[in-house]
Amino acid sequence: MLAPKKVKWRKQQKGKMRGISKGATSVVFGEYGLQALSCGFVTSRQIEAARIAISRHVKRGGKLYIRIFPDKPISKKPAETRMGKGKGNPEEWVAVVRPGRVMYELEGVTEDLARQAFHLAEHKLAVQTRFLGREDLI
Amino acid sequence: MDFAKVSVELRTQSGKGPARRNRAAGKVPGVLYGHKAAPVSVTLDPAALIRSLDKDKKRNTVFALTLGGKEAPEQITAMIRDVQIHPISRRVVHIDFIRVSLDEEIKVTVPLHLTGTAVGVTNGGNLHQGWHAVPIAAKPAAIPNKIEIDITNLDVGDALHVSDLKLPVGVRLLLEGKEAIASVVAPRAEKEAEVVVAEGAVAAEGAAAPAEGAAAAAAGGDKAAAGAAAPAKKDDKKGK
Repeated sequence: MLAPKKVKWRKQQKGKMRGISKGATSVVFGEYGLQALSCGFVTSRQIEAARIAISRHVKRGGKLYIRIFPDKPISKKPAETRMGKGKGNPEEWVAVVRPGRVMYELEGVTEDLARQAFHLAEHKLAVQTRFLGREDLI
Repeated sequence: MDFAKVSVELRTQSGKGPARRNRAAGKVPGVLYGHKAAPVSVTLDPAALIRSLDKDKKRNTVFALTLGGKEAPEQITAMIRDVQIHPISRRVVHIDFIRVSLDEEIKVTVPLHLTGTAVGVTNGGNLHQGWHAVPIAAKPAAIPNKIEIDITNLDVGDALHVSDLKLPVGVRLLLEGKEAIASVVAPRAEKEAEVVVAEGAVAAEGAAAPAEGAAAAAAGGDKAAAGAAAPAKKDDKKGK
């Protein structure tokens, strides 16, 4: 699973998810992309589950690009613990995804296959998504 | 040479307030610059612009912009330099036009199309396209709709480079010849991919904070389960 190699600070505050994605809003590396339409935390497990779903569906063909990285630690208090006594322990890594972010890109496969693969992947992710192609209209 | 005709209006107000009012009215703000002339703020109808685009040239269409009202219209030859598109609605938000002269070269990007099916792909390889559009310099009339390259003879491990492109007359490529355009690479087996992920996971457990935290949490959970009552009493006393 994806995780930072080392971090300066072990714990972070929750933060806010306002607005839309600052960058990575169009397909750049591949031919087709999976774009987020809502904001949310996508965990490293979800990113990995979606990657496996895509790569198993396209089998040996195509190349997959992952354009999100889980760099935010999420802490959690142990079960049956009273409040207080400091912040909980880091439990998982998440990527903060805002609307418009292209999370996955595929190249070297047909559009139908890419649509099917991304359809499987979107069920693994905690955000609403849509299929996106390269824009050549204007 | 045929030009796409679009009429644009002068825009006197700038800033996000007037720009939003323009968009609400179905117009799009834009700017026209280049050729050492002062930049001009304009508004235009995006639907009319998209209708007038050349179907083959698309973004590289040369426009004859009619600037100003009915009283003193000014004809300007221009091309699209940049288009801002809203990430979610995918509507045009802002357009940059650049003045062009038909006698001078202009830098544009032209789509690169790979034709044929590579031998390497039929043998099980994956096609990787490094450049989907290539930057060129050409006079407006000489800009090609697309650049095609045949990849039929490309086998696994082979690559086509920029130096292999055959360009039309009057077109100059703005890339170095050794840049790879397309290559066929051997597919990675699923087992291999799983091994790579497993190695990454081990490394993460050694280094990353949540992995340590998870272990600590698990240990803490066991302790809590073993002696749940006693710590609870201590907490109560401290609370009082």
